[in-house]
Amino acid sequence: MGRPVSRGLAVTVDLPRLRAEVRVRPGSTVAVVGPNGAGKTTLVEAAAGTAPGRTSYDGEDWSGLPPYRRSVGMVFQEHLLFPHLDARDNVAFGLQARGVRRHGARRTAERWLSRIGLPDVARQRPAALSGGQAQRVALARALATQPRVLLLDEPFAALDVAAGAQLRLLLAAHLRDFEGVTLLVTHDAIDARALADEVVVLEHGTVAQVGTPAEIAEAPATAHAARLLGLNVLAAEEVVVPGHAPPGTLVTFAPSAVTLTVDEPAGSARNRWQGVVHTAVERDGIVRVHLRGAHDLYADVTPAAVDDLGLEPGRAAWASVKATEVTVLADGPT
Amino acid sequence: MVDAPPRLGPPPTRLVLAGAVAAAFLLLPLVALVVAAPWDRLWSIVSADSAREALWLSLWTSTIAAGLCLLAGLPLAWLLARVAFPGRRLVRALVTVPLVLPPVVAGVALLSAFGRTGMIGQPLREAFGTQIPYTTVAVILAHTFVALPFFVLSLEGALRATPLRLESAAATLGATRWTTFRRVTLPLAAPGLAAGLVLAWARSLGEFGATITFAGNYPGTTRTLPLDVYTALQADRDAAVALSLVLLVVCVLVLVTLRERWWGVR
Amino acid sequence: MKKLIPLVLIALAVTGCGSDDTTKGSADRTLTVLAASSLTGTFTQLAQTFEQRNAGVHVKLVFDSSATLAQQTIEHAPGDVLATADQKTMDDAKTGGGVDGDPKQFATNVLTLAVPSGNPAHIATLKDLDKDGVDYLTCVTTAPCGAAAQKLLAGNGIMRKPVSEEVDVKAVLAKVVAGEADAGLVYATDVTASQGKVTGLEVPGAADSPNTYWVAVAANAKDDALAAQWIDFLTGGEGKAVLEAAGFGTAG
Repeated sequence: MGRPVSRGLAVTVDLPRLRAEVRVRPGSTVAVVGPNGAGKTTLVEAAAGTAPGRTSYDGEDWSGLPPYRRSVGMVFQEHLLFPHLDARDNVAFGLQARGVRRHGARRTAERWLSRIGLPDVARQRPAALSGGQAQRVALARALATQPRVLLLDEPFAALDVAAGAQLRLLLAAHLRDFEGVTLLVTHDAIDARALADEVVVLEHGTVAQVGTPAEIAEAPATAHAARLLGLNVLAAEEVVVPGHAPPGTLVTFAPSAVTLTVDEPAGSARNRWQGVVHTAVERDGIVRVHLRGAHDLYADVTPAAVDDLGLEPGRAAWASVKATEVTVLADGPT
Repeated sequence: MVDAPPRLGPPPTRLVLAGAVAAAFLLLPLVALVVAAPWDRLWSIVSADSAREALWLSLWTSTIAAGLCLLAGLPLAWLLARVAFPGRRLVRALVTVPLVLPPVVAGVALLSAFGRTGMIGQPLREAFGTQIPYTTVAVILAHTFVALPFFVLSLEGALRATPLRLESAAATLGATRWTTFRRVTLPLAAPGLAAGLVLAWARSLGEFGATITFAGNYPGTTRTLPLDVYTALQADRDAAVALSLVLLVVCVLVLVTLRERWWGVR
Repeated sequence: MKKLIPLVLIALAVTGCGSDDTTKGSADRTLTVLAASSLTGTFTQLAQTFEQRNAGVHVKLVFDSSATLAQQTIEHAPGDVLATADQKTMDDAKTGGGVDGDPKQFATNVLTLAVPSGNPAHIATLKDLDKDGVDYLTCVTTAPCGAAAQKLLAGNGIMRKPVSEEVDVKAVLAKVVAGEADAGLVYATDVTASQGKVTGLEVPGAADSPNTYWVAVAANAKDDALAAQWIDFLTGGEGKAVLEAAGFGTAG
């Protein structure tokens, strides 16, 4: 293996329990997904420099550098805010560590707190913040030093639905014009689908699949990836759900819950969308149909149904799902 | 701060009894000391110049010893808690030795090193004409020697209890290990640090064996309050009791004040 | 390390750990003698002879400072005979009800200036204690050896103070032997007992006011007869011979 000279981030971990290489192109976000114990966290820690591994950024070898000499910002599952510092000083910490004077660092920190919508918590200690607030402050803390590499280790996992949604929106807004690279560890399909340009599936200590979220949803290489990324994800406003879903939250339903028909369905399902069949891939006796329209939708149907309905690429069809099959995104992975 | 324990029924009688016996055992001699005190002569004994001198000497030498423990013990505790250097277990074991060493033996050990004929003391005396025994410096050294292990071990425990993950977070934010130590580890270990200092100070205040062996016993320079108590015991037992009472009151006062200040009343 | 042995002696002297001979034999009778630490050598020797003379008798010796032992008799600690190194502590014991009958003086001892072998500070007379850089020791003034030392130093016009007041004479001697002091005021008997490790220099005026040693039966004595027998033995010819050989005076 020659020394990788490429733009963006390249992380290689070569341990008995994890052998993997992940590349992130400049300006893009890669989601690392996989079951527990697959080594997702080890991978980002290698990028941060807190775990062994080789890392390069824009051809610059970071491998020998301690964490504090790498241009990284990291958000952890537990916010890990410094309990003895108030929110402002937490955000200012990285700037001060990099030589910015206290006064200037605090002013910058206050701007960040405003940007994340929490200007009023500046003088509060982490213990006084809600979980969602704390995680937003943690994000601001990681971004305040303007790192070239943003590392997110399950940032939503400990948050409730509303807080998670809020943080996701904040993050999405930031990532839109972020020029660095982002590595997002998650075991939640929603995050991967909503935030990532590319998904790396880690399983049994190796990379099982790399592709766009859509590619992996269409043709998942492993059962875990299928379960994880095959879910349909829509904004709550566009779907009739049981009970109440706050605006900004996402809802999901399984491909197996989707019914495909050629004509507009007349039944009780109030959630219906028209689209055109993009792909239809068979795996283990189930055909996953990708329907493109106002939304990307996936439906799992039997080969017989595909034949009956003539669901070949280019064919128009209706997808419908019962409200009772729709899940408002629960907090944390299941 | 502390949650009320869940309601599990009354505590078992045998534990309550055994605990009460232990508490009584600790308390009884102190009560006896108070009862035995020569109350009519108390003020004249404790306000005597010699007693005031000894108390003052004890207070300031113990304070300096606690300060030295901080300077020397903090880095050592950090190394033990955070750096996996070869021989760490050995060093920790060696640090513990003075903890279980009879103080007199500590005094003899200090004499062997810093005494007039000691390994360091003799060259020091020959080169500069200075000597450590019989000086207040010797008192401070003896205090530091016996108190340092208490400080190091209690602080190391406190450092180990501060989450390493927070230090990782600091590192990813660009903090060097020194910055992390200064701005994260140390503030978080502050209560343990304070406890360690108080422990070291209290141990110094009560130090007797190492001091009398190594530093000697002379009013004003090396006769600390415990030495004064012992010296008084040779002649006037009432005076010894009265002086012991002073030592007891000072300890209790300081511990209570610091406890309220640093830990909050629980 | 040759130096270690004197240092350990210091430790023993400071803690007052003496020879606490607790050998339990088949002795029918045990005599417990509480004695000032300066009597360690002579009493150990005399106890052996006493045991040989009186079959079935076991002598248990407890050495400590006179003040401590006097206090112990007042508190009725176990002990049959009390022997102190000065009159004051014996008087205290009597006043406090620690001893019965009339105490007897059995020996005298004079203070001597002990210097370590080699005499590094080149001390020739007591006056040399006034020289700068000479570190000397005395007993604490509440102890008999300290009180006597204070009187002699004042009488000889010595202005410089000792660097330390040790709690008993053994501690003074141990530090001088170890070279931790240039000189120390100890008893003549201590110099004899050191077997050449220290040299004794005569102190002017010391012989005029010797320290007196007193013995009495303890109030708490379990065996008054045996205690009286020990006192007779001590003040008899054999006792005198042993005491004189050790440097005590017995002509009181």
